Amino acid sequence: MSVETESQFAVETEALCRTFGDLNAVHELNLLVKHGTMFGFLGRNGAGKSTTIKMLTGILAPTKGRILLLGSDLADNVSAQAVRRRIGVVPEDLALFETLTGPEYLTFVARMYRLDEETLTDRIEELFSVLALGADQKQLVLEYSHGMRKKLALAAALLPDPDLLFLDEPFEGVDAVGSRVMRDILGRFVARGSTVFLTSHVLDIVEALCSDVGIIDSGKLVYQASMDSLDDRRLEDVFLDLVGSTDEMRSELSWLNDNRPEVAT
Amino acid sequence: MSRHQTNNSHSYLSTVIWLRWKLWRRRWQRQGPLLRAVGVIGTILAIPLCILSFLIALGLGVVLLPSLSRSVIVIAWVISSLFFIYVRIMGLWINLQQDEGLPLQRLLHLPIPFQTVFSLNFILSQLSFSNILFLPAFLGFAIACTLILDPGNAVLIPASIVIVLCVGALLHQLHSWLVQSMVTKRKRMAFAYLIFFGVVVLAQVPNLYLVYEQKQGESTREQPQLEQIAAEIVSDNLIDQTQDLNEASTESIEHWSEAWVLTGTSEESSFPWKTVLLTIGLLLLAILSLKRSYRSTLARYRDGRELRIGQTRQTVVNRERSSRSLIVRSPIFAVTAVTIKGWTRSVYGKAGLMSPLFLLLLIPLLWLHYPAAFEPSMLPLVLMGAIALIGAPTGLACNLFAFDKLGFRLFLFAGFDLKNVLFGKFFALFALFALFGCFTFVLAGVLSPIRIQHLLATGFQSGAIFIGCVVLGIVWSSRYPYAVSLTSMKAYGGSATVLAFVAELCFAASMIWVASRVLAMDIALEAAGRGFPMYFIVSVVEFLIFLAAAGLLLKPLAKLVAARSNHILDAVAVEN
Repeated sequence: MSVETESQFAVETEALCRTFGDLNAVHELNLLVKHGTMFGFLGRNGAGKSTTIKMLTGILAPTKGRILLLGSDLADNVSAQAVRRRIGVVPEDLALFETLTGPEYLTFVARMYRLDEETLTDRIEELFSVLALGADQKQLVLEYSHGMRKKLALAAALLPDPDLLFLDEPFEGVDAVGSRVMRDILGRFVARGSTVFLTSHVLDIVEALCSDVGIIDSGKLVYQASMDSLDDRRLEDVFLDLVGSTDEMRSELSWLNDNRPEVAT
Repeated sequence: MSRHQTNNSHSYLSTVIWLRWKLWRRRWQRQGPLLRAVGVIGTILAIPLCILSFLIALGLGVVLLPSLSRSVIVIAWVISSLFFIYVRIMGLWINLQQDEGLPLQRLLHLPIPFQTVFSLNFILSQLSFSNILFLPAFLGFAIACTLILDPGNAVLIPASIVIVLCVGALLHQLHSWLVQSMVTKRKRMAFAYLIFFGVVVLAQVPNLYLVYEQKQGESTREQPQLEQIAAEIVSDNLIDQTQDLNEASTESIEHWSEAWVLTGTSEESSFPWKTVLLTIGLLLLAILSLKRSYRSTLARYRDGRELRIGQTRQTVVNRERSSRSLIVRSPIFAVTAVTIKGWTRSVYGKAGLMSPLFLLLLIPLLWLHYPAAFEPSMLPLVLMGAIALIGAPTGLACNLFAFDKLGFRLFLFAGFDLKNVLFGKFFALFALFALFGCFTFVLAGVLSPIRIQHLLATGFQSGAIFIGCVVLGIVWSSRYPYAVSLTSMKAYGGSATVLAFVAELCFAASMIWVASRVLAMDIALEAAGRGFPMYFIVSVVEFLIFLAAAGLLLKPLAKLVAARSNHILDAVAVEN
């Protein structure tokens, strides 16, 4: 599939803001994500990662600022609708219909993307097999484990063969085998020129997988660079330097330092 | 667009209909056999019912309309319309208890326009039982009016459609508002229950008023004989006056009914301008309502109002408040606090706590219907019965561990003495019992005075019943525990729930029977001039015996709970 390079960047934001009452969830965010990259978007809990993804995927309207996805402005309804058919999303809450079976859910998503019946059937079969989504295809989503739900949501995002994937915490709760399969799939996806925008708390995975990273703290982008520019520094060190260290908690929980009499030396 | 994506292979409408069908079928499969049967019958009968409803209304119209006066026809329209609105509101209430048919938040990340989802949701939500039943009936009757009465009544046909659309649009907006107001399912269910409770209580007000009026009327009729003779003299005039009043009230009903849209022509061959204008007005109202509903739904999802409501701000532990709330540091009161919070924060628990209020309504009704029950000699028994009904023997006492859910494990893992757990639960129930007990005493005391000695004795008697019920409840809770849903009114106990209530009621009834014998003897002694406070003394002794027995039983009860702990945990920790 050819990527229409209307713009040099798959994701562009200009002074993106989102407020909830007095709270600035995202403030003046300027992001640039090139085509064919695996972009890791990092931050502490409540830093604004999910709010940013929600705005980028059109789930949440920005308070201010501009979003360009694959060169199309999301503020323009016509182009936004067209571009949404070229993106796949794994949202924070997964947005699954729990009383459908896995194949039924994927069929529904495929029909929403208006895939033809032949493609739909082939892709669902392949995704089920590769992602090991269970032999019992009559199992309802509500009976799935958390990891299987994540994999099903990823399968749904991949189903329309998108040019851009947004994944909110895709590896959370997925076992080591599943995680490896997902990483391989995403690797192939990016290698052909598509783009992945993911958030994760597992810095080791981001370090191993992503070519570029951005770090958000209190709604502000505090770092954006390629992984190559880190040189010998570990991503975790960079992250902790920027968003906070463990020093502040050392004075707290002092009672945890007290040795038990029987083990005191 | 991918080369495998097509523009016309499947419309959104067919996909959404397919999805709703799948979701409905799964919900149906997960219901009990009775509801499943009702679902199948309802689905099979939908189209025949629709046709039948149309034909019956048409047939009735053709047969009856020539012999009916205009006022009767107008009143029939108004009553059937109001009944339709009532059924729709009931449907909304039921719908609120179930999951949202097509939750928009699960579709927002897909490439489907928001307005399409909204429109499809609205259209499909109109496929309700009430619409299937009433719309064809309205249309059938409107056609009959046109054929039999006047061709001008043809305006009733679009008017019928518009009124169904308008009610649907307004209820859709109300539904959106309710869902918006109740972000979590727990809040939604609590709100729905409160509405239901409010409606039931309000529905009792006219009943109470009518009974009161009747009572007042009866007392007025008990006039001196002289006045009765005078009344007979003027009775002829009264008959005339009554006829005048009846005519006036009919005119009044007709006058007010004329304001309704579905009235048709008032004179033959005249054009029903009023109906046309009201139809246009209702159509505009429906459009405005849908527009407003669309905007508020859009704002709810896209502007993140839901997020804002759900967003939790970082809270700093208020040490001062924390230390204040820990004045009672005993683990017993910790269990009491947890138990009360479990009741007040779950819908099922709220229902259990509010149900006694329904029963409290019985006291004024009893006072109005059977004043003899409020004689000083009977009042203690009435009070005891009321307290027994509304106090301890509720579903809460018979399933004490249900609201702990997985938290019940903490009692076992933390090395907590189960006697303390039972004490804690006892005090939680006592708080409930004391609250409703005091309320009942005050209410009954206002309606009829009671001797202080009898009042105190009744308090002791009620205390004995309460202790007995709690002991029974603990045994029942250990032997037959069952899960309750924290977010709905659903209990998974089946017959256990009913049996527990019946068992406690039988116990309370037997205690009241014994007390009634003692009270009768007390009154007999007093009548014989031997003033001996028998009822008071027996009540105190009875209370002390029950208290001592409960103290002795505490240890075996704790052992029973310990022995049954795995079973209790398995039963109450069901995810729902």
